[in-house]
Amino acid sequence: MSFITLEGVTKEYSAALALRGVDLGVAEGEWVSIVGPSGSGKSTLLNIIGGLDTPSSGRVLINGTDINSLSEDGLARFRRETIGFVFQQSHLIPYLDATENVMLAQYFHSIPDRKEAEEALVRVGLGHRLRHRPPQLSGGEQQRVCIARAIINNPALLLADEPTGNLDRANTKNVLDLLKELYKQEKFTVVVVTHDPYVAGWAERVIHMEDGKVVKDEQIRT
Amino acid sequence: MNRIKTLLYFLGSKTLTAWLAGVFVIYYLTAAVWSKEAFAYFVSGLSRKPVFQTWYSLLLINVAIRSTISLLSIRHEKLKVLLRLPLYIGMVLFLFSFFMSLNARQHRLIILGEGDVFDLPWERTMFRVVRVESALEKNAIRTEASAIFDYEPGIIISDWRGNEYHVTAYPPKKVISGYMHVLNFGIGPGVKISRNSLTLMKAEVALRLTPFGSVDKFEMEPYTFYISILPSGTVKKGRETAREYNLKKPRYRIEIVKGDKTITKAETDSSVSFDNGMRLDFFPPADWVLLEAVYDPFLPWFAFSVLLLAAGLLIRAFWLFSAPIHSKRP
Amino acid sequence: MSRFVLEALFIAAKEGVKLSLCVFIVISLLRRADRKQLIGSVLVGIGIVFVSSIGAMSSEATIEMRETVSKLVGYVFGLFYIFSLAALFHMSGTNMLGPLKDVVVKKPVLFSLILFLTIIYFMPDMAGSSLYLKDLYYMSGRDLLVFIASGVVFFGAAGLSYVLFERAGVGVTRLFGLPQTLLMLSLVKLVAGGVRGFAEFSLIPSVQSGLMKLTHDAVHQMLVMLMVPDHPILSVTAWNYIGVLFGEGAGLWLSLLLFMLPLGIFLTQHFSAEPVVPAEAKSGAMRRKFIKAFRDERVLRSIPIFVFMLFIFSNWFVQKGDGAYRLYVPEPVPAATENGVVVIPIKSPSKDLSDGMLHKFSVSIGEESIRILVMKRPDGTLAVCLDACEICPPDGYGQGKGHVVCLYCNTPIPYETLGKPGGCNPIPLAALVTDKDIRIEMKEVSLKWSDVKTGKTRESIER
Repeated sequence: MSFITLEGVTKEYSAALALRGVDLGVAEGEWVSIVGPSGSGKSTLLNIIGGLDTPSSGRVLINGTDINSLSEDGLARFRRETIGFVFQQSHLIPYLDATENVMLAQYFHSIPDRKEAEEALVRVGLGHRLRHRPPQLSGGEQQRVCIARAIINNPALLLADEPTGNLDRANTKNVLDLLKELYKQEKFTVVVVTHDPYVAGWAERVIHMEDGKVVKDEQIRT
Repeated sequence: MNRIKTLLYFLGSKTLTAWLAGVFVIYYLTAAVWSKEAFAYFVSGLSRKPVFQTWYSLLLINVAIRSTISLLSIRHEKLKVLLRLPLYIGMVLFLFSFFMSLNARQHRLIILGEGDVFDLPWERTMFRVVRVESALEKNAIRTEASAIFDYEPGIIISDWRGNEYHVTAYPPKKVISGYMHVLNFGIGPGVKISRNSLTLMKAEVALRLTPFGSVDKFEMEPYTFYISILPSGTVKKGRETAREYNLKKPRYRIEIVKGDKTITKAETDSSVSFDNGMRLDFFPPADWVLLEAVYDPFLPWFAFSVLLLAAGLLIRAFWLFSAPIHSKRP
Repeated sequence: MSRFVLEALFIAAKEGVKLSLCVFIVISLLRRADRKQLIGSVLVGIGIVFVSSIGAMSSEATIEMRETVSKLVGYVFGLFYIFSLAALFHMSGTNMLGPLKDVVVKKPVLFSLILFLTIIYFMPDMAGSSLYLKDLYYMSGRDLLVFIASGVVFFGAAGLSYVLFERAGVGVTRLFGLPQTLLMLSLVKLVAGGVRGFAEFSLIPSVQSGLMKLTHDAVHQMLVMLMVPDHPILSVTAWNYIGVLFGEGAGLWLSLLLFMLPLGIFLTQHFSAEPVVPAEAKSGAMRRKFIKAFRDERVLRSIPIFVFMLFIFSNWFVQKGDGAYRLYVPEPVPAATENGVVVIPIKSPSKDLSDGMLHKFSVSIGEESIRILVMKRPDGTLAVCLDACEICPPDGYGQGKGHVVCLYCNTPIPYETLGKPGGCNPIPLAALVTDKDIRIEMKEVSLKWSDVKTGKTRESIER
């Protein structure tokens, strides 16, 4: 059984159809990239998988749970305990330092623990930047903080939307290297949305989308 | 050896403290609900009933062991040990001396006037009352608001060697091996009862006539004499009115009852005739005191333990309130 | 609708809501603790209580029996309060059961224990209320409506409130572990344990006067041990200091302390306990989640305790605020005498002796004015005493809440013990009390009055 199962998921915005009946299964521990041109519905799909958006029809099951049948509280609890997010924009709080930004995620999950947050930052290679605030960090470093924040609550699923969209090639490689290393250690499932073939190439499986539909699903390595 | 260890462990356990406290509360609740005199019964039980005594001994052992353990656990912090010592010693000593005092105490209540001689079972001497110091002024004036007693009453007694002791109401006076204090005092009118000039009785009778207006009685078969002291006049000053009592020669109200019939009522400061040929004469009154004499070898310990306990509690309170200063939390 | 039927409805509704509230809390506790099979024990207990209450109604209820029932209510409150404290401390790590730890969890033991607790918890209230209903029936001139209405309202209130609790209370039951349940049960008893309709709703005044008596007795014992002379010899000024320990203010403070102290100690222990994270919680997130759950549970479980404390505190505050310790001291009214008998009418246009207030009368013997005190006791009978005790100068008594107070030495005397001789209780008088008047032999009055100050009684006590 798949870790993520999508059954006939559609999404309709006022006039346009963003998703037109997507069926998809992602196995536990798989690294999947979703690629496609702008407006192909890949970010909408990611938001629906992450419970940030609801489908107009169809079902989304994560680890056997139909997330759209959950109450608002239930969904929020499910999200904070199961899923970690990394976005293109770092969404870090500018007046909190790196450690405090990570602790914020701990706080919304359960209780903050400074020591553990610092350990997570050390793991992503920011041991020397613990007390720096986001404006004092480079783009790559900010994205590392985001990754630390995403994995701090030990999620089973990591969703990333253009995680390296704002980075140069060298920094992109660094961030993806880090993600890969953590992926190997923690064995979570990764879904990355990107339009960059270089980023997509880090996955085991690439799903191509066009006009709200899956057009190609290729296994590039095991 | 292991069994002894287990037993000692249980005797010093919090569980036992909890049980003992629980048993007391349940006893107190039960007794208070059914008889209302739960505490008095408990105290008297401590000197008479083995069940109460067993309970108390267990408590004493428990507290002693727990205090010791507690002190041992902080033995490396000299200051802490020193500061807690009064509380722990006070607690154990308090429980111990309270119990011993209840069980070993002997006491006597004796009404005494000047010149009386008395003895006590725990002393090898007789005592003689040298003088009684009344708490009343000889010309007492009383307004509605004034205090009843003006001075602390006292008594001076001497033993057979002629040593004199001045005993007052408080604090108790150590007299040879026991303690004495005055519990109550009063005026004893001097009375002579005669029939056709044959004296039948002449004495000072210790009566409770204070606070003024109180009625007391004495009996001589077949008569009962009810006596109270009347004011000899009133004093007026401004708007205040006070009653004046002459205690050297008081005015008495007297009611004489024979069987259950009042035969004479009178107000006099000298004499009254009644029942065909009977006569009652008043002489100047004498002061009397009710003396409580106690033999209690544990009384000093008890008093000392109360002081220790109070000091210990104060130190503990200061320690707790100043806790942030000396306890550093990581 | 007559006053009696109305009072019956009130009692029935109160008992109904109480029953369903308590049963609801207990049953949800048993469900959560996975002890559903013990629910039967609660229900059997309630059945027994119900049948015996009906039995009590049909029996000849003596005054002693009523008094016993009334006392049992207070007694059971005390027991449950102690049990809840013991459970609180047991749950927070102090082993209160010792070697009995493994015995009490056995099913037959638990079953009988719960059955016993159910019976003693509900029996006094239900039986007492039944007896009172029976009184109301007679007082209303045998109006059957008293029984019918109260029966309907009792079951109606019980059923309706149970449904309401089931609906609304699911989340609330998370607050109640065993100790919290016991504490709430004792609070219910304290707040609504009275069994005399409007006249006695809560037990608080009697609990308080009981505590005052304990301080008084303990301080008195200390004074005796330390040879400090008491009642008659100390000057008024000295008494003003010592009296602080015996006064109603002290009772109030002590009751506050006795209720707050154990709970306060428990709360400090409760909130300073560190969670023991199980080995299964490998990741940091799992560990934090466990600690969070532990802390949340801890806060939830402390709410009933705070509610209990808040209740005690607010009640204390109200009492202090409305000047419960200011005493009511009525002026004595001259009483008439007929052929050497003092006659005091029970009801007159200006006075009703059974209104629960302290009444004083004076009779003169020569120049001397003797005061007599009349007051209704909680059992409904009238206490007729001298306005003086055996050991103090006869300054008389003032009325506080739940007790009268000796104006000389501040000793509180609970209403229940009025008319019992001894100590600082007012000296009882032999009187003929009919429904019209009270008759006391003049000789009885004058003889007892002379006893007051002769100290005869005091000496006999000391001996």
